[in-house]
Amino acid sequence: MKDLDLTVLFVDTIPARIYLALLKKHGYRPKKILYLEIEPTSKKYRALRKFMGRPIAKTVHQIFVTRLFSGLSRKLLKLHGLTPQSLHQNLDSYSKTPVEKLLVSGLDDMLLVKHLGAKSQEPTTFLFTGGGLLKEALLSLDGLKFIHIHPGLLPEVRGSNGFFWSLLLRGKAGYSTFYMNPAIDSGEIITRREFEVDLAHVRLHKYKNNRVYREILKFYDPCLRIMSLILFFDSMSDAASPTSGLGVVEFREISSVKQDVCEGRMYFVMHKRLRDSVIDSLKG
Amino acid sequence: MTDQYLIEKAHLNYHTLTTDLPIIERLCKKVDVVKKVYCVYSDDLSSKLSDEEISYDRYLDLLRLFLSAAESLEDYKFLNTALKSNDMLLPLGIFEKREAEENSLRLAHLVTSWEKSARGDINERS
Repeated sequence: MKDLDLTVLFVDTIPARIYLALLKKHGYRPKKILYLEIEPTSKKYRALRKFMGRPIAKTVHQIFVTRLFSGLSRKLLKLHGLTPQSLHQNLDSYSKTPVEKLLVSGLDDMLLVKHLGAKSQEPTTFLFTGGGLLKEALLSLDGLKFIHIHPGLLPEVRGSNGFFWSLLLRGKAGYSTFYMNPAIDSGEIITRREFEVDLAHVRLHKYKNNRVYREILKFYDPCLRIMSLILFFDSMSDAASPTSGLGVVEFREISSVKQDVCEGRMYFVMHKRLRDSVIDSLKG
Repeated sequence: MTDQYLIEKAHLNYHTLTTDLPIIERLCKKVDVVKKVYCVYSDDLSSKLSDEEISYDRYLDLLRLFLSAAESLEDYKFLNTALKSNDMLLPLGIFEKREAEENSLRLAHLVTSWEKSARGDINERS
């Protein structure tokens, strides 16, 4: 196992679990996981809580969010050597130190800012795994850096639905890892990579486009996101001299490139008609 | 800004010039994110200077402008916003039925013809 000088900002979702499972599968272990326990705000959850109480409602909700796997989701995970079981190992097994839990109302909770602010004397790099937007107050804390893996080559493809825009515009799925700042997708870039997307084995034609759309975003795109970072770690290890500390990947030693904010374009949620045309071409 | 600009573009038959592109980009955001377009904005369209929404006629001009820009530049982003504008305007009943059908057909035709041309490019390359 190679240790990563990285703390995972973990919100319990399938994409976040995919990040951890693939890091482990490829021999990388984050220094720490900060597990943000966020109480859901959906109407369904609130109704469940009202009738069953908080603990049962939370468990039931969690089963629906992270424990139900369709045939398609299993096939998509398998493309990267994952199974539903590999996503649900004990969280402690993914990191070097025991998981730290913090109960917050959301990523914008000031409690999170205070908690991390109190520790910010120690320079730390966090891997953002989604679950909402990070507030400026958090992003501007001294000594802390947050990295995000964006679907889309930056600066060309900024904004929403990057996986589908990249396929439509460039014929490949592009990913960029960058240091987050308060503006959208405009921080310094650490690495960029494009992947050919071939889902012929998955027999997508058996499924409706809306379903394919949802499952790709939940089970396939996160695999490519974290793989783009894992391949970057691999290239760093390959380039390191035999005498250097091969066992630890230090983020502070990695150079990053400023983006020209005037370059590139911001894309918005893709209309279903266009999305269908991308999915139909994936179906072949 | 918006009202006057759209009237001028209508007079020019929605012809897209290079100088229009930053403005159309900004207008995309109004439709895609805010889902409303107001009568007056600052020069760079970053902040609204009026709480009054543009009229239905101007919304129609806006859709025609997105369509024209999408067609002339073969631009998927503008096509995406044209599709959304069309959806936004359809339930309001401001199109004549015939125009609504024509718009939908024109948009669908653009998507399929660009698809074919993209596939042709890929086949040629391989």
